[in-house]
Amino acid sequence: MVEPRIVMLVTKVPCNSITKKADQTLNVRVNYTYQGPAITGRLGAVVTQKTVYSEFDEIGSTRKEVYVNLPASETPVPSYTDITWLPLAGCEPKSGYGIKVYALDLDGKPEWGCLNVLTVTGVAIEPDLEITSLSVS
Amino acid sequence: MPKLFEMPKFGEGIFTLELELEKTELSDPGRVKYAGRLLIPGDLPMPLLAFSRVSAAREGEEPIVSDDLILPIGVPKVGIEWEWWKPPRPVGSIPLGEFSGELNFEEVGEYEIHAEAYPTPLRMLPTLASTEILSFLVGKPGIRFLLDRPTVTPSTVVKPFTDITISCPVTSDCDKNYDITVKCIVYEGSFLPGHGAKLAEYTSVVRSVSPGQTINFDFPRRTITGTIDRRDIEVQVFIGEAKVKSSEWDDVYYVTTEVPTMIAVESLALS
Repeated sequence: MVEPRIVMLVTKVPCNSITKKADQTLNVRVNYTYQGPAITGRLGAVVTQKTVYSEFDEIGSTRKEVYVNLPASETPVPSYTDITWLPLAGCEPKSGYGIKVYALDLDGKPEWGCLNVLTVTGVAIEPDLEITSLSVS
Repeated sequence: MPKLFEMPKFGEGIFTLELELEKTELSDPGRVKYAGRLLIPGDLPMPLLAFSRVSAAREGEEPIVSDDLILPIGVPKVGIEWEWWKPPRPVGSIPLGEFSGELNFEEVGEYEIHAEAYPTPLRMLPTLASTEILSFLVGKPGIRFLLDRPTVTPSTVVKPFTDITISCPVTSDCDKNYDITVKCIVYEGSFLPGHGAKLAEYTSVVRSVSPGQTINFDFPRRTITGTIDRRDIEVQVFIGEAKVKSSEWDDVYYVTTEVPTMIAVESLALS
């Protein structure tokens, strides 16, 4: 017998690609529409990577959450919220990272994300030899 | 011992009620004044308060009534009648009990009007008297529409911010084609008689309806939260500016007081 379980679905949304060094932080602007009563909710963002088990496997050290004051609206009203300074130090230098955002304190825990949008590069100093002059003797 | 007074019994035709209308018909909906009187036997000695109700109804419908009209009938005049060849005897006379008012005909149609007089305002006892039925026409003859209870899709129990369609069936029982418009008015329901606050009013386009034809007038609406979950609906039918029919239904649909929150992320921008 297969035990029933709830599978959270991540809705894929458009997103630009970016390259960051591991000692930098990532800013995520979330463009959304809201309809409902005036409440204070939370929006969270986390860097993800694709694994065998999950398309959006979260890298917990990169998680950031912010509070959002949502005004009452009877129709969907567009707005945006910036989630800033996601630390990338826990990400090993490679490409193919994704981003997932989620809402808390609302109905359920809706999630949105996009794959292959973040490349993290290492911070090690690469050999950089520059010949400034030659002297012949 | 001689009987001085014959006490009347209710409902035995002792009283007579008369009713006169200012007009015999109206070309458009409006008000009509009426006047009436309750005739009382001259030898009835008791002071009397009576209450009248004038009703005007179209066939098979709730009447329009003038509900709170009171008939204060004057204090009886009591005296002694004496003729020299007879012993003196007390006599009483009571003035006529007059009443007047007006009926407000908001809709076109053929009405039947009659009046009744009651000994109590609550009309718990039999009537003292009633009038003949008078016919009264508002507008043109042959205009009659039937309204059925509106239906709501996709469900009669919905959450706020849900898109619904209110369907109002209108059937023509007229003798010829008419161009009609239909108004659908949404009210909050109420635990008390009647409805609560008006939430919205929709007006249809003009449509032609032939005798016997039923047309569903659909009104799309997005539900909103309210102070109560019940929603009442009134439907009005117009020919031009003249209202020819209206009805109201309680609790046609319900909007749950649980307010959903809907957030939808459209895109992300990384920097």
